[in-house]
Amino acid sequence: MLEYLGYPFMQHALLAAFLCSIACGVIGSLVVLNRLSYLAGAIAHAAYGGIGIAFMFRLPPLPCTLGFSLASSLLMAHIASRGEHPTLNSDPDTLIGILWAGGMAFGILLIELSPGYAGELTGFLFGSILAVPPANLMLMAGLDLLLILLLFFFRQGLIALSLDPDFAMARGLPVRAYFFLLIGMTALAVVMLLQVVGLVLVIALLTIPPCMARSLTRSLGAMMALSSAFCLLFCLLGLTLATLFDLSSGALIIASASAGFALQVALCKIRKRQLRPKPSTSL
Amino acid sequence: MSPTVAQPGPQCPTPVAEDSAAHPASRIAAVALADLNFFRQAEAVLENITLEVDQGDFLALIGPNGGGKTTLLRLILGLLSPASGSIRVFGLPPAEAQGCMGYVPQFSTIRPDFPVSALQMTLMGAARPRSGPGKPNTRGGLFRGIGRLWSEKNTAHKQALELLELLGIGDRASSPVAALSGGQRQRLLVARALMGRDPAKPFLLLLDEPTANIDPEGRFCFYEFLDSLRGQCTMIVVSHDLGMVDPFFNKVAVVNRTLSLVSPDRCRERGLSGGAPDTTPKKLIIPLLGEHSADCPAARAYSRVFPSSPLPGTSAPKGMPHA
Repeated sequence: MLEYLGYPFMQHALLAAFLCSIACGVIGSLVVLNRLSYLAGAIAHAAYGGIGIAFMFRLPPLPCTLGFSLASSLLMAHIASRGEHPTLNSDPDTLIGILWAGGMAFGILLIELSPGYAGELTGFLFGSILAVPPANLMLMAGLDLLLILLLFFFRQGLIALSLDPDFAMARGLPVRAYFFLLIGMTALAVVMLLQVVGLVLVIALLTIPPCMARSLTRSLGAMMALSSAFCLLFCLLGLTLATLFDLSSGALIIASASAGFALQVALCKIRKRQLRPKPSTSL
Repeated sequence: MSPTVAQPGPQCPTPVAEDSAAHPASRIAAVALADLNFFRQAEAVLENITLEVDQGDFLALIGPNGGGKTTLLRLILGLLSPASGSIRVFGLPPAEAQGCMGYVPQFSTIRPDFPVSALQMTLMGAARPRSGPGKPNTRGGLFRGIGRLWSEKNTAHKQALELLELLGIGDRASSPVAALSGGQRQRLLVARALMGRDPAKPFLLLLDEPTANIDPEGRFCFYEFLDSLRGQCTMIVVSHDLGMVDPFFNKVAVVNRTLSLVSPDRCRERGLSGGAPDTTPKKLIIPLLGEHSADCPAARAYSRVFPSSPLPGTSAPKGMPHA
């Protein structure tokens, strides 16, 4: 196994896993706390439209997908925040569902209409962490930096949005703008994660590690750090298993995360049972 | 109670005379609503609401579910815009007076699984957008929400702790919000709202169903605490606790699409003041809510809390202790 570490593709894969884990921890935590996994799923699937455009017009896929996802995510944020409440309270599920499937259908059609072989596109559907080009690594590092800077400057605002949007609005904070910011940041993270696990599995990586970290931490910063660590752990585990058994890395990363989540739930149940006071002591 | 506030609202009006009773005419009304209308999907939720709340008033908004109480509160807070009519809070449009208002939402609107301690949540109460002089705006303006919105310095920590102690939950300051009981959470929300108060400026505290998660005894203590704020702020409470109307509020308004203000005298005429506890609620609720009386959710809620005084044709729910 260790001899694989000498190969550039494996080094790139490890670096990609590390860079994605940062985005996953930071954005995944906010997505989970704001109950936005449906919206994140929609952004991920609609991103296929961007891939279609890139393929049709022979543009670089990652920047093109990034632009398309940002545009579609802000449209979804607009739909989601139209109601009386600043965030997802106006039942926009149907419209977002249409964008979810519509964006993907648009991408499929563009790819079918494009000349040439489209085999590499399965990488976007199911992930291809072992085939991340070095140029994309630079872009991913840049996106991570951007996400961290945005988090740094808007930390309190994003906390206010996630904790109690009504109260934040009543204090005059620009809650709707925060919501757009968060959705835009989610689009950036989703595009990064697309390369690791693919658009079909992206929601799992955005939600499982933060869900596991939530019950173990007492602050948002700690939750983000721990979810990043969980995400990196699952990526490494999935990558190792993929190399050993020659199976799809994206699916194995998500399988490891799901197994990790199930293990945590089981351990929690056992612990609760042990902590439950016996009848004689409870009286 | 003497909390000092770190970040006073920049747009708040100038300080007013301390003695509210002495010069009522010289003061700006805390809330002035004139011919207010609000529609939701072409259906009138509030119609021709005219109301004046003086500074120092304790106003209870009562009425059936769906009657528009919370909507009225959200209009005053500037979270909703009316279809027509005017809203003035301390003489200013709501968006400009947000620094002078403290909001205690229903606990169901916040996300209790957010990993935050009670102390951190209290600190958030002093949140203010970065000053944009004369341009208060809750929509857009991302740059106004950049950077630090509330202080996390030691002085703010001390003030937050004082407030939590005042509300009797000082020992839970470092506990996660999720670990607090319903009553403790409600007190935490009040502490957070008071964190935004500047003692030198008038303050309006708006509470939406503040005692929904508290048992009857806890409710009484809670209202006793609110009573201790008398003279320090103006208060509007949306409540189903009709039994609490008499001792704590000097104005009562029934909101059921329209608003009718009930003077304390009228409440007393109807037997609210000093009467036996089981005679007061029905006498107040049934005449005030008119056609909704027999089936009114507010009255049903009351009878659940005070089962010894069931409404006509209803019986006390099983399992409730009878007084």
